[in-house]
This record gives sequence, C-alpha cells and structure tokens, in this order.
Amino acid sequence: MFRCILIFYLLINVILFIKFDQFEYQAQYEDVKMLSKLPNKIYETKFIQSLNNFTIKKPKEKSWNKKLLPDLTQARFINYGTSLNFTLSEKKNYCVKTNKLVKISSMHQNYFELSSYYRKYYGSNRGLPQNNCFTNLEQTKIFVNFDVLNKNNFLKINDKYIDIKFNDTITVNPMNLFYTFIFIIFMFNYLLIFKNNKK
Amino acid sequence: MIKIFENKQILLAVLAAILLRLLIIFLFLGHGDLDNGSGFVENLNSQQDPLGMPYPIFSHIFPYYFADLFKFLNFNFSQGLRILTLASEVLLVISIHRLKIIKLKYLIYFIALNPFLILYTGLQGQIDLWAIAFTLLAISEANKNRILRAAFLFSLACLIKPMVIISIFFFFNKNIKDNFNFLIIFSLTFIFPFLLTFNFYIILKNIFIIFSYMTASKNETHIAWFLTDFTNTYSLILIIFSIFFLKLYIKKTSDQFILILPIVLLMKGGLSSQYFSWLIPLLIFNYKLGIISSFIFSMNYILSYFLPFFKTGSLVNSNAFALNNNLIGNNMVLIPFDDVSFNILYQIFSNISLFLILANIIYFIYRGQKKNV
Repeated sequence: MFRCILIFYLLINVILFIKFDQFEYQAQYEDVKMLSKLPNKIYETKFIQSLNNFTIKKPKEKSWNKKLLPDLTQARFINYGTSLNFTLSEKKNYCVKTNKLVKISSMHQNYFELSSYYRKYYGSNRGLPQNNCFTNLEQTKIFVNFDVLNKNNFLKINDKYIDIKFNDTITVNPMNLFYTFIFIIFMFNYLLIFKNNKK
Repeated sequence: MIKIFENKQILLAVLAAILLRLLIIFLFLGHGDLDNGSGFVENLNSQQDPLGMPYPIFSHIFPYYFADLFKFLNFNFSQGLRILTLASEVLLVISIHRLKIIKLKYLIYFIALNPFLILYTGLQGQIDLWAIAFTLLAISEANKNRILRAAFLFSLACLIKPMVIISIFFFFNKNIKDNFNFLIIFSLTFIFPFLLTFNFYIILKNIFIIFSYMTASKNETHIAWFLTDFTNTYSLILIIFSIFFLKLYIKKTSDQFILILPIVLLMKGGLSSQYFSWLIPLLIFNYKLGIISSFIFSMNYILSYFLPFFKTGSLVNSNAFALNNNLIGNNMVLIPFDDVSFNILYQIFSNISLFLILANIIYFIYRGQKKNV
C-alpha cells in the first residue's frame, strides 16, 4: 500500500510539473510594502534595501477574452429551475434588483456578465457593477434564474416590480426528503449496529 | 481485511451504502467545491494564471485535477469530486483499521451507515477526510516505529490540507535522531511539489495563502457560543496550549490527534458545513454516543445549507440546498422555513451540536482513562 501511495505522490508531481511548465513567465520587480513598516535604521540597511526590490517571475497576465467562468459553474447557476428571459433595449440605464442570479448577455451570447454578488465567488471580471446598475450599449438579453420558491424571491428592473406567477410547477420540500432519509438510515443503524454489534 | 466481505450482511450493507451515495451524487445537484476546484482546473487547462487558490498546488492536482479526469467516463467535475470523496471514506476505514483499536465490522458499519458521511460525500464532496485518513495512516506507521514512512504520509496529509500540520508535535518523541529524520523527510516531501514549479513567486504566494488561512478564523459559527470572540482572537495560542496539554496527559498519538481535531474546530468557530467531518474519528471511538451525535450533526449540517440565505438574503444555489434533480425534474425547490423558525431551529441544533462535541470529548477521555485503570 505504501508503495502505491509513493507512486501516486510521484505521479501527482509529474502532472504538476507538466502543467506548471506550460506557463510563460515574465520577470518583475516586487516591491515589498511590509518592509517599509520597519524602523528607519533597519529599513535603510543594505540588506533590507536589497530585499525591497527583488526580481520575481510572475505568470503572464490572464487573457480576459477567454471564458473565465467554467461551463460547469454556469450550468450550476443558470440551467436549473426556471429562467426568465427579457430583451433590453440599447443605450439605456438599467438597475436590476433580485436575490437570484442575473445573467446579461449579448444577443448572440458570446459575451456575458453575472450579478455583482457573484463577483466575489470567482474573482471574475464577469461581474456587473455594484447594485447591478449598468448602461446598455447594445441590445442585450437578460436571464433571471428562479429555481427557489420563497416569498422573498423578487425581481425589480429600474424599481419597477415584476410580478411572477408560476404555473405547473412541481414543488419539492427538501426537509421531507431529508426526514425520510434520516428515518431510514436510523433504522439501519439501529438494526445493524445497536442490536448486533455492541462493540 | 477483504475476508470480512465474505459476511453477506456486511457486503449488502456496504453495497447499499455505496448505492445510496451514488444515487445522491447523480440525482441531486449538491454543493461540490466548484468555486475553487473547477475554476482552477479550467484555468490550468486553458493556460491561464492558476494562482489565487486557497490550498497548496499539490491539493489542486489531487484531488481537484483528478476529479476533472472523470469527464472521460462522462461524469462532470462535480460528480468526479464526490466519487473521490467516496474513495477518501474507504481510505479512512483502512487507516483506522490499521490502528488496531476497534473491530473492523463495527468500523465498516459506522462509516457506511453514518448519515453525516452519506450527505458529506453525496451532496458536498470535500478533501478533509483525505488529510485525516493520511494522518491516521502516518500515526499507525509511527506506532510501528517506521518513522520515515510516517513522515512521508503525514507530509501528504499536510499537502492536502495544511491545517493538520498542528499535529506534527504529536509525532515527536524523546529520541532526537528519530525527530531529526522525521523532520528531514517531512520537509523534503512537503517542499518537493513547490520546487517543481521552478518559480519563487508561486512558492511565496502559496506560503502566504496557507499562513493566512491558518491564522484567519471562520465566519460561520454557532449562534450562542459566547466565547467566540475570545477563542477566535486567541485561537492560535489556545490551540498551542491544547497541544501541550494533550501531549502531557494523553498517552497515545492517535488519541492526541483524534482530540485535537474537535478542539481546533471549536477554537476556530467552524461548526458548520464540511468541518463536521473532523469529528468522525472521535465519533467512531465513542460508539453509541458517536452514532447518535452523527444524527444531530447531520441535522445541523443540512440547516447550514440554508444559513447564507437567511444571513444575506441572497438565493445562491450552491448555498440554498438546491435539490433540483433528475428524478423530479429541474423545477422548483421550496425554502421550507420562514426567518423566525429557521433562527430558532438553527440555534437549537447548533447549541446541541456544540455540547455534543464537548460531551464526546469528555466521554472519549473518560473511556480512555477507564481502560488504563
């Protein structure tokens, strides 16, 4: 078993080496701001000054034209439940308020942005500005995903409340499924561990 | 170990447990670690800058990169990650079995039928159990005086989840030569993956990220834990004190490690989500109390899925226990509580969980002392 783990460790390192070898790096001066907090006498020494401007190799900057939000994550947030589609006319200011995901995309869907709230999840530049307010330069599509039923679920575009009525929806109460699961598992535990195998 | 499966009852229970986990994985959407994992793998594959990750690069190859390889079997990343979590449960069984403390039959039943572990693997898929299992394997090797192997396995655990590094002190003994050998192998194994990047920037950034994660406290904590402010501020000092006392008063290395996990959990206020998995070794050794506690913890775990919605008002799928599934249809999920009921329920369960953790720690120490007498 130990040998298997050792081989596994080496395999991971090989993958790591191959994957990280693909990056192009560029030399940059790193200004270590922490050092400036040192007392003057120490800060001005030759050693600290040499540390203050040392060269590092950084990976080249991200090319933002590539898709940064993975397909899977998009599917995870957009393709479930019901998504409402609207077309927004061009050259107009919009503010969208909702507690669900908003996706704004060009008509051909080759460019998109998500609710500003989602920006912090991915460190992505695909997030809308704060409060989801933006100026629409071209005709765009807006998707608002509603897959959770709650009285607090709402949609307001430019402070105009949009009433949403759902027909023919199957509603699932997750707690009922959970209680059933807990009951079945408890019975198994009772029969197989508590009764048969005291220790 | 494989002989145990000649017992049909065990074989059936294990098969049923695997089937149940697979059903949850493939029918329900669950959480997964999509934010960190899939973004990293996609960036890596498209030759984008992969930095900004919260764990060492090693743990992003294992298991995150391997989860992506499941696409060749037509499974998506999220499903792959959770199938790997299922494998970590198997490794946990092997590692605890190697300690030769409890009966294998009970151990298999416990892991297979534990409600929290079923939900943890099925709905979430995380890396915590890998680190715990590798540490326990390292302890079993250290018990056999195989210091070099123990150092290597412990280093693997730290590469996967740096938080377990706090238990390094439990591996040291009075033999200076053994300690020296342990440290040399541990350091070499730990540093090697970083060196392979041939980039000082990546190494520095990873060290900074690891350190900031170790010293930062978790946000989501139990509501009525009145000492939270104190424990969060001084968590590092309190953890060091706990290590000192455990080393002084608890004899077995495995017991020391089993006890430090819940202590760290309480000090850092991470009583939610996947952090309940840190309690699993403790619960296994506490038999009936451990099993009953697992049910309470799984209730608390499910409630913690709804917590972000009631805290922030944002209905983020991954946090809102999205049960959109292939069985009933990608349709609508109810939030089954109003604000007041949720707060009362969460308060009750999080506080019961807190006292159950303390009860489990006390019971574990009491049982250990009783055995020694």
